[in-house]
Amino acid sequence: MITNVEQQPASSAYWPGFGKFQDPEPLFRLRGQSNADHKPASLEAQTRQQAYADRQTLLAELALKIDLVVQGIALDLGVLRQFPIGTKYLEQIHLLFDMDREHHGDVDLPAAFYLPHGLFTVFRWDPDSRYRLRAEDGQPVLYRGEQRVAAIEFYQRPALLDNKTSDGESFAHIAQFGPEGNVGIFYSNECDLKQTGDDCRYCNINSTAAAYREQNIFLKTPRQVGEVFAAAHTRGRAGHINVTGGFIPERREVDYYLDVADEIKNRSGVKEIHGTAVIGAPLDLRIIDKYREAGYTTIALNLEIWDRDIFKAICPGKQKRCGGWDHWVKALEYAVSVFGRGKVRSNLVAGIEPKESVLRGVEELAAKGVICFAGAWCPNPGSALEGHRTPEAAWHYDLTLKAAAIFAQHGYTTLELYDALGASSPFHDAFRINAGENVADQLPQWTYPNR
Amino acid sequence: MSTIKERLYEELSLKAHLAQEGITFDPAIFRHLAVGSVYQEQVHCLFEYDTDTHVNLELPPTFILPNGLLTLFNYTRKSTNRLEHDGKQFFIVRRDGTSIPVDFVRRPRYYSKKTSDGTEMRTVAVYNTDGVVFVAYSNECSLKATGKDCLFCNINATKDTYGEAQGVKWKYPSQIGETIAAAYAEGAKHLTISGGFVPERREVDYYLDVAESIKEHTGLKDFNGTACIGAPRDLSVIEKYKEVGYRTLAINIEVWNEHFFRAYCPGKEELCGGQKHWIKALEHAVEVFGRGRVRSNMVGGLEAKQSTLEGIDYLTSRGIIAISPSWFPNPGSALEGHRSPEPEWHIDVAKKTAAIYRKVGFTWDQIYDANAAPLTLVHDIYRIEEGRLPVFDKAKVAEKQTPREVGLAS
Repeated sequence: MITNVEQQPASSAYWPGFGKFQDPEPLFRLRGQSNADHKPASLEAQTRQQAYADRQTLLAELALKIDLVVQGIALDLGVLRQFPIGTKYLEQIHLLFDMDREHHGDVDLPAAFYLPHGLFTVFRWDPDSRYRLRAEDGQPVLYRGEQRVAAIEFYQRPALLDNKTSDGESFAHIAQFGPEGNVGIFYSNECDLKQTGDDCRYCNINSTAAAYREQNIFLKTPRQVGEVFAAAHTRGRAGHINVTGGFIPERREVDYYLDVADEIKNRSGVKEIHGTAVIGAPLDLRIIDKYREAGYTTIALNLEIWDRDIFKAICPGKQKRCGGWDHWVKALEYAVSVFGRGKVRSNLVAGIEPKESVLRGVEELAAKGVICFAGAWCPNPGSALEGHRTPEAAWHYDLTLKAAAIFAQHGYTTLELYDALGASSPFHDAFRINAGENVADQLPQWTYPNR
Repeated sequence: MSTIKERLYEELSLKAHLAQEGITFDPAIFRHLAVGSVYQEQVHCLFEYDTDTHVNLELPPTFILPNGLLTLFNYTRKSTNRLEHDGKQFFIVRRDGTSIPVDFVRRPRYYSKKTSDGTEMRTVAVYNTDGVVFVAYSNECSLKATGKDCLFCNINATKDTYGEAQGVKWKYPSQIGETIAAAYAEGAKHLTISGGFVPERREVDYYLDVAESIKEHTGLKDFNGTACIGAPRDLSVIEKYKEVGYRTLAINIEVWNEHFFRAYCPGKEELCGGQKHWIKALEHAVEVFGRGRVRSNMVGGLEAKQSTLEGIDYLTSRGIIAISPSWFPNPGSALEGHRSPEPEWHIDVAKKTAAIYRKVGFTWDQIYDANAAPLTLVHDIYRIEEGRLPVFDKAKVAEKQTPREVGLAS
């Protein structure tokens, strides 16, 4: 039995609004108190103490996950070649963005990995990072300087990617398959806003398309999308679909999305598409009804920036073509009236405007029924803001915890968070850790229910 | 073998890295450096440029790299650059193990003097090296009262952190006159008067009184001063600054993009007629003060590089010394926790700025006279290109000497 342990009560201020994890009772009294006070804690108290410790472990891993995205990971090609990236493990496929510090031509980099306690993390390469990939007995390990940080496990390449559509196109050029069961479709890897110089300033869609042209990414036809979805559905890997891409000339996206919906329904037999149509705010808001009628269960209109004036500066195309910031917010409100509370998503690029402004946006939209994420800005190569840097990891960590607390305060559920964004972002992790979805000190991979 | 210029450009890159990445250290290391007596200490009259605050720990404001470039000392606990001492000399040890010998700036004598009313002169005028002194008449900004402070600014937070600890207060014209006289007697040759917004915009009367006091105490009609002001709504006010003897005027626009200006500088937008009026004020100032006698700062790294350079190009073509010194996201500002762009980004902006200046013919003297601190990368590029560093003189001497004379055969 452990005796004479100095136990400091931890802070309970970490999760404002979350009642589930209160500070546990100390297992033992503080040093200096009388022996009469030294008595083992109850079994219940020990359980709470362990639960608290598990949660702290997972939060520490969440902080690491965020830091690995902010700082990136350096590597040597010799080490990288020890891992079968592109065969056993999933390689990065640049269907829309390049999130690495630099474009990396034909070098296949890993797409993602699991940290020791189960957090799924995207692999972001930065040759100057203090984090470095090493190999130990054939296993990938992360170091920070000379300090061993974590053994990791690369995300295995989904077998679906080896399939081809009836017209002979590789699934790998059409979709991404996440471990949650999400099918990510990027219908176009170009954005029409480039024509007028009005691309969003943080965005590198067009630069990515140019840098990875040899990957043969192109505009996907509705039929191809339908075939991919149906194949995934048959294998139980289509719990959700997210359809997105750059602006299409003349805003003809609605026709495309409706055709995709028809193909999905016809080829898979589903009546409702548990999926998200990611669109720019339409000037005529009634268009939003069409997406619901076509079968999409959720919709996303990414506002990107909460401050009106910064929005104008950072998203000149969205300002000009989508009726401006106020209209965008109106479109989100209208979408809630069509799709329902918790069925509409938005995103803010976190790190361009002050944190207080981002959180104000997350809070105000949550109150309106919109789940607004605030993914960490990775200043992308080829964007107008290339060479800028995202805020410190601690800034993003704090934002993540506060946003997750806002989601909880407004009563959103884990399923709604995943239906809004089919990926295990840090916000999902924080929300789930706090909701007690961990098993001891592991956060199991979340997957979509059969439906 | 690299030329002096090549070595200096490498050092310029190192300077940009060290300033942005900051420096960490064991505080005990400063037992080897008499900061605050022999060597100059930081005095927080207006801003805090360190990433981490350090009340009651005296730190130097700058350090000197081997070829003579001066670099901002940015205390950053988590930095991978570590200041060390080997018993004889200070070094900065970088992440890759590279060791760079550094030195520090000697404390100016006026730092240990007091004005006739007993105020420490170091709290009146900060020495910004190379003969330049900086007076912040006020260490608070009235924009705070309405929540309209510039988002990148930490004037008010700096006052809360250091105001009492370092005895920094509002300055009276007579205190400034006496302090400038002491600094100029010691060799200073340029000054800037600046500060936060004064309630009701009463700054003009104050600046005129300060100029009179400086002239009285130094005996100089032209004291080579820059008045740093907010754009006045009535542009005719600008003439008063010229008439009273300021050689140059600074009206800092902070960001070029008008939407960013509105977002990042809500107080300047509201009180100064907006970004377009700000530009008009700068153009009017050139009519009054002359080409190359008006300066405007942009915070380097808040907006896209292209936007910053557009602003520099536009303003420079109208005779304004527009400059974009590196942004240091200050503790206590609304943007605390953000990061400035990569060092290479800042170097690129500085090189392009210097090229724009050369195209319009701005001279070293104009740049020197218009700026509050001659420490920017643009200043260094001029120093390198025009041979304005002692290292060039040493090299000339070495070239004239035979191998025997430099000791190779001894």
